Amino acid sequence: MLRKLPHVCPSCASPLSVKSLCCSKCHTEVNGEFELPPLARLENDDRQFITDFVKSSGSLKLMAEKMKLSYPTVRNMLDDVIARLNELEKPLKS
Amino acid sequence: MKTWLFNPFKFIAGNKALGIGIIAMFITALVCLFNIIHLNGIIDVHIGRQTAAWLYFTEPVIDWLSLVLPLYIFGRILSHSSIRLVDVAGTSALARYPMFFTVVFSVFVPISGDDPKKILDTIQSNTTLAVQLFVITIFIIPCVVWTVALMYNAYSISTNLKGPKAVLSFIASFVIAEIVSKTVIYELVHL
Repeated sequence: MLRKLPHVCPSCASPLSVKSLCCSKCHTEVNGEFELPPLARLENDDRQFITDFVKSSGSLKLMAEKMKLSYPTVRNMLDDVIARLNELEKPLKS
Repeated sequence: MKTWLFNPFKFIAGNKALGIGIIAMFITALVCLFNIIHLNGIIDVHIGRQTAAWLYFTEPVIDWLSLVLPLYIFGRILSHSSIRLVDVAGTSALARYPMFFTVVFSVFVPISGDDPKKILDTIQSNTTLAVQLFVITIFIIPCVVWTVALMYNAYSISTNLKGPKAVLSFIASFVIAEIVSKTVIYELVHL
């Protein structure tokens, strides 16, 4: 099962940050406070969409063919992801 | 199934929608020609006025373009997306396909003519005719509603507009298109 990366505090709904990173090979642990990039804070579907978009060389036409959807539907999906990214960037900027 | 009926534009848009829409418009115009039915307004169906054959094929094109133009202009003004004319035109053309069913049901309308008062008098004096008309209307109205729903969804998808902004600009486009199409067709008939 693909686990969802939590990026919002369940208690106060503020953005979560990364406190610890560890190497799965030698188990070295790095502690600190690292901000999650906006892309990592997107929902899984949105992240998958961006990955597919980049793999399609940024061609909406190709994406539409692959997803068996119309061009404007895919363009609208991209616009929605852009809008969500802009929303996520807002608290980081301020 | 519901998506295919009310929002096929999720899957079909651009040139493909334009091609299917134009073919549907042509077939509908053929049915109109053989049954003396006019589409003189974006969702208008009028029966029984004999005119030149070219008018039957010109009317749906005028109806379609009268709507495409304001929708595209509103889309360019209100949408933040980079909208394409081919999507607005294509999806709007495809949205007109239920007009075929409207026309087919209109073939069974038992009364026709140019004078509305005369038609009303005939209906009022003939109960059987009134019942027949009522039954046919039951079939025609859902087709008209279906066409309008498709037109709205076509606009929403091709311009990426939602909510009140989409609804109000669609209503405004619809009113503009009705006035423009009626005027242009009237002028054409009286050339």
